[in-house]
Amino acid sequence: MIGYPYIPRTITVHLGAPDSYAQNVTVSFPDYIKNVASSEIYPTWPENALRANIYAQVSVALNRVYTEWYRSRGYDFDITSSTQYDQYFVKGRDIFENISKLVDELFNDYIRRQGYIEPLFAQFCNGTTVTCDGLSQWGSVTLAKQGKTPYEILTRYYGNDIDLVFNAPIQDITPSYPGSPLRNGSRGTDVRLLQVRLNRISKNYPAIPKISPVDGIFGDQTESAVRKFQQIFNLTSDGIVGKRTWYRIAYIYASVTRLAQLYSEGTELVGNSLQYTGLLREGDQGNRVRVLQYMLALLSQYNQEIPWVSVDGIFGPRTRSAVLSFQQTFGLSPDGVVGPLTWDRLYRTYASIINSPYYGEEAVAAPYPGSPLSIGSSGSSVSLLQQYLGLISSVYTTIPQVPVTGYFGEITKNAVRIFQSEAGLTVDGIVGPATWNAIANTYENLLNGAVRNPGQFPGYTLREGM
Amino acid sequence: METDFEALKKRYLSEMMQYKPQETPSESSQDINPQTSSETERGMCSEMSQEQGKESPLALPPTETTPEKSAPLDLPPSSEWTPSPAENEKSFRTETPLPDSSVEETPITEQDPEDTDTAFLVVQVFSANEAIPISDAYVTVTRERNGEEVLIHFALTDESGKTPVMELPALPAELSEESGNPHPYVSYNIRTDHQGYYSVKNVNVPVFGGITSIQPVEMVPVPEKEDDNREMLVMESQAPNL
Repeated sequence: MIGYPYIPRTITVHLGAPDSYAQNVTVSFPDYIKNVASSEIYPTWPENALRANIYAQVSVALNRVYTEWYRSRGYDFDITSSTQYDQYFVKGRDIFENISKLVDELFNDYIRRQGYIEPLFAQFCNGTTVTCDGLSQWGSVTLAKQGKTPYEILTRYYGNDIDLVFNAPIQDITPSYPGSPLRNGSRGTDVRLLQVRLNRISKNYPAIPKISPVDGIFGDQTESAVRKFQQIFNLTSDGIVGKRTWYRIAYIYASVTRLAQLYSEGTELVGNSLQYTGLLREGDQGNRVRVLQYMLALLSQYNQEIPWVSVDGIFGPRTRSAVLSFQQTFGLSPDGVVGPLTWDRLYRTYASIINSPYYGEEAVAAPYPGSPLSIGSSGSSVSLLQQYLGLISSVYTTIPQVPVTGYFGEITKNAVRIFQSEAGLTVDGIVGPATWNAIANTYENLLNGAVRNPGQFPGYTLREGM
Repeated sequence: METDFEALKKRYLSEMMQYKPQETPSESSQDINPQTSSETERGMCSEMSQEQGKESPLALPPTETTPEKSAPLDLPPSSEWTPSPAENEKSFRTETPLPDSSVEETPITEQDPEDTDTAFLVVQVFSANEAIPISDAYVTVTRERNGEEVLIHFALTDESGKTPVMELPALPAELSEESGNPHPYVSYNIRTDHQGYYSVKNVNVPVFGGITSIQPVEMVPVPEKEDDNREMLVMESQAPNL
């Protein structure tokens, strides 16, 4: 990593010593730390001891990621689960609720040596059967019982020349927490973003009541939705969106929308034949590789052992690694080559996901029509554009309503400009691929967020023609 | 005549008896054969009662009432068994589940004298990186005692994929606040099932007095045209090196 340390969205853990033959799992960074903390220490310890240990665990992990310790040595993971080399991680273990809440607060805070940028490799050990030049886990308990703060505990073991860095940015999780909590009575764009996200999440988690209207004003409806979200995701259910709740919402929203995006990409690929038509191996390129990669990418959302692959049509080392993981997970002969057995198994796994009740419920916008739309354009693509802007304008009220005429006139251009301004795009009133995709994504998220499940409060009032 | 719920519960218990938690966990499938049900006549059945018709199992008193307990259990052949959550929904699941509405309590007849404290457990079942909560998953919590699996709780997940909070006997918290105690926690086993997904077994899950454990269960879809629920993913927890 070059530049300022950030928190990786996910981390890949090798389930053994570095050179051992073992699986890798990829998990979200907060979930990784929750697992480490629950595996390394006892949850009954005083809170300041827990905090000090968690800071050390976060710092160890960030150090490995920032220095690319394993990746630079040719390994395909960020850290191991071995206490001999790194820190304990036990796949699939239980997480202690009090530790979970602390990690939700601390996962993007870390220790660094003054004058240095990289996160400190904050070595630790139990302090009884093993001693080391770093934090003593049992020692931290004693110090906490004596009333020491987490920082005091850390300086005792790492020296006085350390800093705690708070609220580091998180990869792909934007925007960052606004800095002060949002609560009943708050207003603004952060509140509106919150409302849009909660509504979108509530489509997958119908126990969360809908918020309507989405107006950027934090009222009782928003508070109810926040409380329910907190209760489901094991946060203190106080209806206040502090840092913990903000990031938890961001992570769940990212999961939900990433899956939705994959589904909508799949509708384009479905046109391609899914029959096995010959071996695929590293070095191959083309559409069949795309289809392979797409199935692996969708599967990686459902299985921690399959790493993410980008769908670029080129069978490189990452694709091979994903194929290997798939073969290992499903008991096939792990050779990294996709023959008839591997393809068949992959296809059947993909089919089971497609045929599950959650597939096909995503509202999907049309893809970019291929050439830009601007003043004077007309036709079905313009009608679609106006339709999408219509829904968006009912929620983002700074965007004026646009009648669906199929003709791109001044009204449409004006609305496009305002949308571009709000979305941080070039304000030119022309709908090229970037603007189209931004409008389409916003439309999809709003529409999916408006879907009401039985028992849920109504969502947005959609105007006729939606 | 038994309800589907009752038959399902019996099948789980018989499978629980087969599983030995000391085995090394492996990723390969573990075939549980419900046909060898001769062991199920002991202990377990006496704590369950048989209901006629489709009454809600919540109404069942947790004491033995049936004269049938000495007869061998007639479990449906595994390939024919399919849970029908849609039908059972009306009988034991309300729209907004109350804390105890979907937990069937079984009295713990033998309590370890050292378990003077209470721990809490919630099982949270999902798929696709928490994007999809899995409702109506069957969750069974057991404890190994004298080589047998003793049923402690049986619950269903709600629409958010969560079971109600379950109470578990636990060791006092003080034991883990000082070094020198090698095993200051009690361990339980958790099994989660849902049609269309590989079953999951979490083994040796540690719980502490006064602490709530959240057991996340990520479920992996079974490929099409494969026998449902024949394989199981087993995960074993490990003690910290303290």
